[in-house]
Amino acid sequence: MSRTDPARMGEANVRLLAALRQSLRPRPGLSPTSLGDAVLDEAEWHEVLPLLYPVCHADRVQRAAEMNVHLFYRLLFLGKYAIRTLKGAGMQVLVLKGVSVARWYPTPELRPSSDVDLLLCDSSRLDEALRVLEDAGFVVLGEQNAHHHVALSLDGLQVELHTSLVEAFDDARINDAIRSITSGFAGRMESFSFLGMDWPCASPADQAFCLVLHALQHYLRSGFGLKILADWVIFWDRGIPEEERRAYREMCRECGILEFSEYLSSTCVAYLGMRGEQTVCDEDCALLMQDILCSGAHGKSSNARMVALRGTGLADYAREFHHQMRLNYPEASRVVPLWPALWLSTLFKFFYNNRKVRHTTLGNVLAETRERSEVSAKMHLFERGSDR
Amino acid sequence: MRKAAGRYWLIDVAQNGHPYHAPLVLNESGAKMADLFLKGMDEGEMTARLSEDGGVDQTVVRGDVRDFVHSLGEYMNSGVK
Repeated sequence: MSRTDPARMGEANVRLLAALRQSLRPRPGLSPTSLGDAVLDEAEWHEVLPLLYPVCHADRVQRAAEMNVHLFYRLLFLGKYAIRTLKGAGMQVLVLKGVSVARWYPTPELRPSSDVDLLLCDSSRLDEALRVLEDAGFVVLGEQNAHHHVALSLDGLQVELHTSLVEAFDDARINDAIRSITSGFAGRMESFSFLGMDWPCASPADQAFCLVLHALQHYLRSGFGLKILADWVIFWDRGIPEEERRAYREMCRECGILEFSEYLSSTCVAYLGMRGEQTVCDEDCALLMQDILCSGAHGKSSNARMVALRGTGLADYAREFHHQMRLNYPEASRVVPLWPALWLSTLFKFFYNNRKVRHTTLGNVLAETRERSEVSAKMHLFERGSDR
Repeated sequence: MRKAAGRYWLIDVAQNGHPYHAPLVLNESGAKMADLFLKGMDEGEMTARLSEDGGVDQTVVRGDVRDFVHSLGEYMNSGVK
């Protein structure tokens, strides 16, 4: 069976996409229907079960939707508390994703989320911000899994205080471009009113940039699922001013990710009924959708699933390997003479994790990486001048 | 008051967020009573309106309204710092 064969998607996924298509833009008079356990299982795996409530009132969906609403409000007011606390100390933050995207959903409370993401506009004040939040009752988590944000918890829920939008990519020029663009967020920030509070958020173009980077980060690591596509559809379908669209495209062009953005949009047009033009061919949209369906919400579909490289050549593998070394050893990797030892250590870690943690083989990992990378190679990631 | 997942959610929007004051989850009839209460009606007015709208005797409705207002009062007081 060809990789682009719709039958490879599975009937449950085809029905799930159709259901999501309806639920993201419910027509008046829409009657709930039965979707079957297989579809609901897939929806649960992609963490979009609550989103199906407009089209399905099965007990599982009802329970998931109600739980999501409870969690939505807990996170909403957690965010309110964090923002007010930091604002009270003279620090500006803005909401990344979360309520700034949820507000555009037909029912914002059904948008799945598990934490609060805030961008600290002045990253040089991070230590101060953490002290202020700790004084207010937040606890900085002992184990931090990323370098671009600090995770704190309060009442069992997590706030991620970002100093940058995403983890560094394997291209210093792109990372510099992202930093430069992000440094302008504060000057362009806006606010919106929701449930009695004014929420600080990025401009439409900057929000779109956040969304595409978030998707790209997950795509390159181990993939992303339908939850991210749902946000994409909702965000773009509401319509943003043409000047914001132009600004967004310019940011993407600067970072060499305009093709990736087009792939996302075209795939959403083809499969989720998003308004707009499908500029990427059916075959490539099918390949990307296949990758997304296999990923699930956190790219954990298979133990062999790993990164997508920017290409399938030896240089691409070497680039990614070096990048993984820098992620594993952010401080030590600044000392160039240590690189050979750090590469060796990264290699051992890679083999160890394959065997003991992921319970897979090098062959499986490389095969899956190659398959994923064939799709990403077409996106000409981080290449300037490759846009349409 | 908001509607989501087939339920009505009465939210304390004035809260600071910590400690968290969870929403009061209401069904259809509870939501109707909450709506009238939030419009400033007292128990008697609420009873009369619900009785008229539902086509039922006020004696049937009065007890429900009293219980609801009591529960609502408890909910609102639980959010007072």
